[in-house]
Amino acid sequence: MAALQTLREWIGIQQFPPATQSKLLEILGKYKEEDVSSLTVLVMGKGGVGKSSTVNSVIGEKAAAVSTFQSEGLRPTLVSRTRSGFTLNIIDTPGLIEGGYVNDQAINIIKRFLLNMTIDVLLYVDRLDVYRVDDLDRQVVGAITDAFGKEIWKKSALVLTHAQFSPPDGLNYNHFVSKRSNALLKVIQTGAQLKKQDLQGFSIPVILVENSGRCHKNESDEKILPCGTSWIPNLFNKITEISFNGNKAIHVDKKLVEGPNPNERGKKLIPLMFAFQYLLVMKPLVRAIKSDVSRESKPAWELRDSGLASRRS
Amino acid sequence: MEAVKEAVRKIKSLVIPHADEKDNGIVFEIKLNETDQRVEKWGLDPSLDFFEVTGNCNLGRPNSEGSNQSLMGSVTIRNIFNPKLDDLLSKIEYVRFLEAVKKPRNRTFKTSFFNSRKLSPVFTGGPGYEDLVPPMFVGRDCLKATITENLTRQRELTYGVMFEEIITRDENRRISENGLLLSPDGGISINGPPTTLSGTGIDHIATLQANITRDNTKLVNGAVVGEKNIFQVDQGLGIGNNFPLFNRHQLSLTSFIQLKQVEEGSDKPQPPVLVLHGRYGGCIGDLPSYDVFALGGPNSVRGYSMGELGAAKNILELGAEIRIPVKNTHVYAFAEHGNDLGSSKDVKGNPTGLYRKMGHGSSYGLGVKLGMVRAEYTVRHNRGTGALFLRFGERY
Repeated sequence: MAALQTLREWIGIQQFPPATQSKLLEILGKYKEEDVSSLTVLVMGKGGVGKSSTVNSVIGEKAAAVSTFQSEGLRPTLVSRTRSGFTLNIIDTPGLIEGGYVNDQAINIIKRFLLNMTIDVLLYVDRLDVYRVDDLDRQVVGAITDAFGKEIWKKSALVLTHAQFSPPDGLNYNHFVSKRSNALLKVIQTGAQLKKQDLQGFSIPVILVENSGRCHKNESDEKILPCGTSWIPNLFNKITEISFNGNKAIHVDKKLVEGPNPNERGKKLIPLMFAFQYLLVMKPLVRAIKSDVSRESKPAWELRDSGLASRRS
Repeated sequence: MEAVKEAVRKIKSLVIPHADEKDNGIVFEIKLNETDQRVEKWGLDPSLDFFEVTGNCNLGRPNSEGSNQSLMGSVTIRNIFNPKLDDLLSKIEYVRFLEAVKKPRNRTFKTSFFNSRKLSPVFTGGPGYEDLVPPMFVGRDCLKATITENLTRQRELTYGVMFEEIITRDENRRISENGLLLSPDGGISINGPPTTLSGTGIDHIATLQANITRDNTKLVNGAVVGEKNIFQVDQGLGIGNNFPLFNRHQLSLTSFIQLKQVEEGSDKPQPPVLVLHGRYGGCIGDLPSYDVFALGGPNSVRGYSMGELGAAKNILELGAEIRIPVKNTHVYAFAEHGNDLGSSKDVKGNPTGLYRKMGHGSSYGLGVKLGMVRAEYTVRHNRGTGALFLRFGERY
């Protein structure tokens, strides 16, 4: 599908201040060195957490429609931009929660949209300024795991939006970020049912993001977080690290879209099962019945009747 | 008119009540015996819920001319006030008693053609969704040939082959390919779980069947005591649409444990009895929705309607009942549990999850046996509510 799309030059990169541009070009140089010509990033999460805003901020233009109050449609959006022979694909998706439930229909639409694509990086987006996690977060992570497999989390990052948020009184910013991140990483671990050996020392990176126009800037006119980090180059750096982290990218093929077919499971065992049932269940039962018949005790009334009959004769 | 009057004079009538689980109604079957060995049965089924009256007529000629053969025919019209061809249920059965000199087991060969039309317990809504999910009907035309060996009066081995055409229809009698899909945002579409293996609403299946019953129960002053095991296999032969290959099996174990020694004899009291029951059902391979194991129902987990707990590829049911004799009958307490062993999601389309069923459930209650009728008060664990039921026949 990406091949059919007319490649658009990444003009939005010129919107960034020169300091950010030079850092991004340096990152693109890494892909050239590694002979990688394209990167596909999948952005997923609950509704209203800032997925489309993040895509727009990263591309540098209004590529995905954003409205503060309007609910998203159900169609994913592929944003494709080319620069110096390198193509960046970002896939924005609808929110996975609707009316208090995981929207299985949205997940199926996303999977069909991704057919024959390869996902290099998954960005799981949530908000920094929400204090609690609940079972719904776990269900969303579970749905993503059911759709793409546990391996997706080895190619993923946790993105926290609204990073310019001021923590509650008395809490240090870094401390709050740490607590919020750990809570969500724990949700990802339990929701995806990841065990320690599944991760093998891999830890999911956390990326802070501020998409608002009121984002603070440093002396180089770059958008910075409260801790002083310029977040757009940082985001690209983290994506690059994930892309080259040695774990395999997720190829979405027909089998993954349709999901495993439970009817096929164990089908080859049917002749064995049939033989087992005949030899080890049916035949012993028949033998047991015959021994029951030969050993069967007669009820008392039958004995009494036969005694009476013999006495009468 | 003269022939009718002559027939009426020869008739003895006997009214036999039956439980009709399909409609939650009561069938009063009127059995008419003619003196010339022909058998006729008329039945009326006042199922007020459906505003239908069912009539059926059975004609039979057992032991036709002394040649160890039997031919029976049966036609049922679901609604005698508004008959439709779709509602005709028929059965033709030919029975022959085989005589073998070397092995004189009581062996019977039976060929029957019959059709049935039942409400699918899979396409029903869970708690709070009962009215959202419309009914789905499964119609079957079956041709069946079996051999039955009666090892004794109550121990039986049956094996045979069955060919089936299955058609699924919605409440408007149109062929239905999929159930409803309920979206979380309240939307409804018709892309839900497939009703048949082929996805077209019509399936053709060939099956080997085997069924063996080991029954060591006896009566102690009228109370059932002993042990009963049933094993059943349906083996799909890979013939038909999509070449369905499956192995569907059930094992049922029931123990009636006498809790106190009593003196045997007429007019002696019945002993108290503890009944323990377990049932396992499993399937490997292609399993269409109409053949999945339904959890919930009078013969599954009491207190729930059929399929109310879920539909699964593997099920486990456990039950216990303690019977205390009172005068000429007994009162009893029971507890039952059913579980899908996590296999509901393996049914294509996951109708259990889609229609918001639990997949497992329990119930307990008290009851009293009054002749052929059981009055039970059952509490459903999943809902926390209780209800009074009248049942016919035995649960175990």
